[in-house]
Amino acid sequence: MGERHVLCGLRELQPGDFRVVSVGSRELLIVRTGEESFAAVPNICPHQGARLSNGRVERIWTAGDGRVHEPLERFAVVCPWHNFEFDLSTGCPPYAAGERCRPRLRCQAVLVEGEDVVLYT
Amino acid sequence: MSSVAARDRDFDGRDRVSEPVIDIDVHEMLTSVSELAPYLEEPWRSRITMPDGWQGLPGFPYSYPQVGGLARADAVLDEGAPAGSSYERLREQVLDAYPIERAILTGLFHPTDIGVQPEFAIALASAYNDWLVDNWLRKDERLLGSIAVAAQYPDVAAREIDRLGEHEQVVQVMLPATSRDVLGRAFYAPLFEAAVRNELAVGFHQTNDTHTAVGLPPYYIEWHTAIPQVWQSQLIGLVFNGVFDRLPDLRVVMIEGGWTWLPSLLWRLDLNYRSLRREVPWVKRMPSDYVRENVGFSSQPMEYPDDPRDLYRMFEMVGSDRFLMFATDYPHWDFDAPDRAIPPAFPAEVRRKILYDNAADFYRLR
Repeated sequence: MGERHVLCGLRELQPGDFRVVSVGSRELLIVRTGEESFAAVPNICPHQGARLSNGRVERIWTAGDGRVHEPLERFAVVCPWHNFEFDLSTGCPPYAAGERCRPRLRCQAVLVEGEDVVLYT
Repeated sequence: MSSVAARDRDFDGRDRVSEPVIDIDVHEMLTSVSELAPYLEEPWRSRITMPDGWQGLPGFPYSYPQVGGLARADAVLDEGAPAGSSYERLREQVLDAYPIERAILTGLFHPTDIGVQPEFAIALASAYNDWLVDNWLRKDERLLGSIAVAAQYPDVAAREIDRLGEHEQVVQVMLPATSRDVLGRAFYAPLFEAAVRNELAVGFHQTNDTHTAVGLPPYYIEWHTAIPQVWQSQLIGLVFNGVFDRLPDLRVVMIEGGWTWLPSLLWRLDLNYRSLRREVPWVKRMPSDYVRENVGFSSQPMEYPDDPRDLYRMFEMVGSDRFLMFATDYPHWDFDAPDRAIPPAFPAEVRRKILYDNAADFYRLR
């Protein structure tokens, strides 16, 4: 296991909140995605390079037969420039898996250790 | 021209088609609207039989610069009858002139275009369908029919589809490539549901009432060049109004609207979906997936690029070899001949799919 980086405290963020953290030369977007789950992704859109922290984190929208907007439990980050969505549980667009997952945001493995949210590099 | 003579035409040897062909766009025409009188009850019958009676669907605003008018010149009939109104001529010039195994009649009678008196439009649709069965489908087993509907009353249109859906020669519901509304909107859902319930395709075709994105431009050549915009708009509407999500078995065919625009439209659909999906979260898949799986296109009017290989490149860029189906558009002036329209740049197995297999699968003819 490599160098340990504390990204934030477990209770510093509410679900759906995010923070920008520098890890070495990289800027990461840290999002609380559940009670004890977090996502860490590069704070740069793989499409055309916008800073994702200028966009929005929200629950992924879906709809049933009645065509009423309904939020999923999962969160996505929405890029500020072209509004591309990235499912923070996969790094893929919410509707595209496999070969159609492009562009892809590379999710970093995040651990909760005690009261710390940490990343190892 | 006798059928044997026609089939044996040999312009340069490579052109003959000996294998069976399915033609998905052949226009049967009324000689006049009075032909519908026997199929109408009152109060509608007298609306067309009385002096100054109804003259028919909206007229076409352009005069035709073509030598045969709307028709190819050798399809024009004596005594002023509309081209396409003679079964015998159609049989001679299409069914027997080429190895046509099946020809799908698409009419040009769209009561949806009647902007007034919707009950009259409904009655006309039923009358036309009964006329179609009596005067065309009963004459030749090679002919397959399309149901005319008045889409302005979707529930009634659905009942009309249910009434005729089990006819073994009926394969399709016809809708206008209209510039007046998005037929994918939820209001029209009963119509599409009825098509699926009856295992029928839904075809879109231009009409006299089809306008371009700038309305009616000054010249016919402008109109004829620009109208694919309407099929594109209807296709976009079907996808983003969630029609294919609600009805995954729906089969839609875009007839005579061109197809070489499809690669760029698929890209644009998918790009905008990546950006704007949150507005239409009922659409659960990439738009291009629906188009490739649920939508067919007629080959006619086949484009004619300087390098015919470019045409095949466009075909390949669609990402499926199942979407394109051959059509003559008989009796119209821009008729495509099955032995000449597809350039040799298309491999033999792909030509076979376009001329026969794709339509056989799409319309479930085997």
